[in-house]
Amino acid sequence: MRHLLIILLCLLATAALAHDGMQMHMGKEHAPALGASAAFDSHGQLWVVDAADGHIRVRRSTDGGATLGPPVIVNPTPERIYDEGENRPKIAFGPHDEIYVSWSQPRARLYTGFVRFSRSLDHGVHFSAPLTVQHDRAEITHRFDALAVDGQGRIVIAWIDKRDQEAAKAQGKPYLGAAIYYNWSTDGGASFIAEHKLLDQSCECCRIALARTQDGDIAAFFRNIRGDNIRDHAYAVLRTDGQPSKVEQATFDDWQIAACPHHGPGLAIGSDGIRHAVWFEANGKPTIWYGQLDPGHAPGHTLEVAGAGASHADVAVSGRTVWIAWNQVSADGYALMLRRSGDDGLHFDAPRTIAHSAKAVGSPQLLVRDGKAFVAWNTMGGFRLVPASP
Amino acid sequence: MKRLPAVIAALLGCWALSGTAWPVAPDVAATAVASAQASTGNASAKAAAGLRSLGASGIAALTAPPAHGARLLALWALDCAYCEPNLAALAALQHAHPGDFELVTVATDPVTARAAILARLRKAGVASYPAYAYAEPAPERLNFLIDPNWGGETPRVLLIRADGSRIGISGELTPAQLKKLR
Repeated sequence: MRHLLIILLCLLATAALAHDGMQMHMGKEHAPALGASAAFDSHGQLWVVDAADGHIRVRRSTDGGATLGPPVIVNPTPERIYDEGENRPKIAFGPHDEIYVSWSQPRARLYTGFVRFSRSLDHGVHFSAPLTVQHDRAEITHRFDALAVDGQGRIVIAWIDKRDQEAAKAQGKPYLGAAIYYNWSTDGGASFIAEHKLLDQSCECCRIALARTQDGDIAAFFRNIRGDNIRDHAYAVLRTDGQPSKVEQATFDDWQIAACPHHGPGLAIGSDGIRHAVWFEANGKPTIWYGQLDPGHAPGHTLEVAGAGASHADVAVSGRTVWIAWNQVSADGYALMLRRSGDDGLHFDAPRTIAHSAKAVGSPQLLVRDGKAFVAWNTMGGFRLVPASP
Repeated sequence: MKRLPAVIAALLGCWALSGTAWPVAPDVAATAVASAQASTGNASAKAAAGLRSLGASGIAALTAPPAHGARLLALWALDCAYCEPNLAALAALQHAHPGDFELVTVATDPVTARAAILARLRKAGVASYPAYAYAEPAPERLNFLIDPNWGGETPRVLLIRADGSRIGISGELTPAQLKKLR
């Protein structure tokens, strides 16, 4: 009888929702999708951004990540927000602890979005009215935003963009996937310049990994498409001096698939310039790889990190220490896994479980503070900051 | 939109009664799977009774070999432009060989996106087949339980034959791959 009542209530609720024509991502009608990001400020305090009820919210921890303070609402007017695994809100800090937040906003049409941005110049007390980052206002895909701050304090945002696919389609020309565009702000996020195209025919829905190079530039590592739907990865430094960026193939797995894997890579660049990368491919069997990128050539020091049931790896580096974290599913739930290298990625420890969740989890994000690594892990049971160092 | 507070109250009531953090209690999901099994057993083309929730406890029944012929599990997602043509191609295959195949669609999106999922199934012309969506907000665990050799990329079709053999193919099916399924 209790179950009948539950089913009846669920049916009533969902029927009412359907009648109102609401869709997912609006907010209250669906549980949080676990898409969150975290970052440390210059004082070592942890900040977490996620979405709830149509609002981007930012929370700060003053106790080393054990608890999060009350949320500060970024967008007072609710809007639709993408907040799932590959397309989650982002947070980054400026040189004076300015807080920058970006996210993708679904538009009315399917597979569309605008890239949105807000900043706080008073340590999270107030946030600016959200602005739309891309100058193109066509109701098409501009989503899967990635956010980074370069060595000169410029805010760089890259995203997946379908304007060229739409143009090709209108002319009856073939076009695989989408394009990657990026732009930047030189005034601390008050405005963004007109966007530049990085390349055509990238994968449509895999996150773009951004990392700061040893020179202070922002580099992108992302799933590309070459030939007939071969979805390996490419690497480029995002030029902000008006010169075209050089894009080079960086992984060579030859995974041919007419699908979007929804499984983007990770990138961390050491002060020695070594480009530590993790990525997923399933040309044969699902595999997460580590390698040191040598754009234009096959990566060096490759390691098969994990196989079946492993997903959404991230990588971080500090000095000569490299960490790799990923989710490993089993019938029992989710394990947060870690491998560590103390010699610049030449050798890694055996995988070890550092946390477990019986319920669903978001993608892990590796963070480094004072040479120590932590994994930001958003779970159905709540947000967790898991130490990665023994 | 005026009904929003009532809707939220109903959803909250639903969550509270289910006694879980997620709207569908596992045994409810299992019941739904069992009833779907009954309906998929003889006539795949029979009108589906809406969208059913698929939890971990329902996967063994869904992936068990059918009594005869083969079951096509069409795994798809809302944010997947390649999925609609794939669903349509699998429906055409089932329609051409109704005695050999049963077709079941499984959206890897949370079942709370019910309206959007059902609309897409209708658009792809496959709304009459038994349809499931995930009872969890993150898909990885259920993906793994359905097929450990699947990294979650969509579309994917999992063909399960009566003899227990399986074929899994990711990506929009080519004519050659469709032939392989036959």
